[in-house]
Amino acid sequence: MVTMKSAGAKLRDLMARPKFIPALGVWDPYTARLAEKMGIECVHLGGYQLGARFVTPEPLLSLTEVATTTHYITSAVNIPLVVDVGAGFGEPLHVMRCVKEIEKAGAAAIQMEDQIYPKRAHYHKGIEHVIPREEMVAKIKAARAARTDPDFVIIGRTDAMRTDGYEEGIARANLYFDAGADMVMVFPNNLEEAKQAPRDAKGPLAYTNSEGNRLPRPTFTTQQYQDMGYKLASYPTALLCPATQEMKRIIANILTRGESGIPRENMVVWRKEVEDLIGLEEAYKIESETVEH
Amino acid sequence: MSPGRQLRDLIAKRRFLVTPGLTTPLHAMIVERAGFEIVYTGGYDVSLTLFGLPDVGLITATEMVANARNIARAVKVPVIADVDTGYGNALNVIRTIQDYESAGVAAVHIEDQVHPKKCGHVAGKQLISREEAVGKLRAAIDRKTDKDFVIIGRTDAIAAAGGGLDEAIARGRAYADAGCDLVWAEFPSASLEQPRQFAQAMRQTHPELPLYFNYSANLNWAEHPASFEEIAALGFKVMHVSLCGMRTTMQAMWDYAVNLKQSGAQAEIEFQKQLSKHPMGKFHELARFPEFKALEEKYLPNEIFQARYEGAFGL
Repeated sequence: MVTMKSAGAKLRDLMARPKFIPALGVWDPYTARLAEKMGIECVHLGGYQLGARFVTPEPLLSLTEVATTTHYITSAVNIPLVVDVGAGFGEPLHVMRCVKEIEKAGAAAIQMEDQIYPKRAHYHKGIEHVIPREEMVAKIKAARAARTDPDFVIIGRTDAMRTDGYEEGIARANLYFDAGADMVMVFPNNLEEAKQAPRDAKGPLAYTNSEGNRLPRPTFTTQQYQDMGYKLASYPTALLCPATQEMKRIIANILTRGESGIPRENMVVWRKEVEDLIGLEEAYKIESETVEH
Repeated sequence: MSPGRQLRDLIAKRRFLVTPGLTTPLHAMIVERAGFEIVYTGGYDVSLTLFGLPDVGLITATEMVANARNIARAVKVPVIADVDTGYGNALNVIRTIQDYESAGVAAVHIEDQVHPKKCGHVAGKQLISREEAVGKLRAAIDRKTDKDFVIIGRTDAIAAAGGGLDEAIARGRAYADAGCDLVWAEFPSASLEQPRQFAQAMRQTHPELPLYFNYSANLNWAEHPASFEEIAALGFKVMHVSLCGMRTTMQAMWDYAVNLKQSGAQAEIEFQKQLSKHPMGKFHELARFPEFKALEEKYLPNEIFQARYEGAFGL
């Protein structure tokens, strides 16, 4: 009998390799399936994309909405999923329920930050408020205590580099490692800090490759991340923003020209690709063998 | 008529309204059948009954609103729902209010505790500032879409750290000024002394404002027996007895379980005898099976309906 590897164990296998992990930001099972099909090895459900999916700022998302989306995504793919749970929905007690729900929903990891709860929509503009160090340490310990699979990965995230400077950010990252975080996500303010952080941190660091951010925080290629010593990065905007532009183009075509403007021969191929991605062929096959004689 | 309008009309027409607090659509159907004109569903009971969890803010807005929607769908009478702190700050309150409105609920109560919250009668409650609480209530009132949707402002100030009766009165007045339709203070004792003082103070500044009363299951009413009429006479227009669905179900389920464990099948035989004579005995009727069968007869092709029931056994 083959033992199924837990999602957390799959992520730990990826972490054990010397290679950097690009955790592509997805927002539903479909985008996750596409990423997997193309060869992405780990996907990331970020508050930014999920907020967009529900057309609400991230701070208004409920644990149920995050957990339900997690469940649908993990049912659709075999690669590990990292779930951004914001501030963990409250104090240690709430973090514990959050970990239970997200782990049960099949995720490999949670990513939890040291911002205040309820968090403010203003963080999208780069204005954050962080909780005291010891509160966050207690939340990380609670998260560890709540996981049932010891391989479930706890990613702490500190926003303190932005609010209180590099030193505070690194000090917190190391405290979070001491508290049992398996990885810590940091937000260096510039290129120098980005290069320095992996040298000063006790454990593997994660980065947010937020292309389009209005701050001076740089983004890098996967090779550059690997060379600097980062273990993982999330990509919150890479798919969502360009996909929105392509949808806008088609919508505008229909409104102005009366048609999508995509050549028919393209659509025949593209449509088949969508159907293959969701497994329609398999469904036809089963029906033919059962109810569609 | 919107559920909010329905509730407002009842408040205007009745001397006072009282109802047993409940958790599930079935509870609501029973309470409605027993003749109550409003339904109340609280957070403590939903946490424990549906999730097996304590009322410390672990249940999400999505989970709470889903249950409230199911309750509102199951009955015709207006539903008052507990939304705790509104699940966050003023922005969260706006989303919460809109979700509850679209769920078909008539009224919600929002409290001034720090989020995540604690049950109203346990120690360790902390308050948000008066200003922040007023901001949240204003957000709720400004952003509701049905102007008749009822907003109940609740203050936990009497028993919270740094609070007291004077603070509760000041907050009650501020919440009324912000536009709340009813104001509710949580009282830490069954003695009517504080409710009397609170109501008098509220009447001085807001003589027309209806007050809301929690006849809480956590208080010892045997020590201070008071009728609903007496409480209503103080100025409390709407009240619920808390945790009724949960506590009665707990007692009945425990008794049944212990009995079945001890006596085996005989316990079920005895129970069937008792239940058949009880008003709740015809539960298939409460579930409306006959009504749905009539709908099948009306809307399904006749041959399908006939084939389904001809020679079939069952309810």
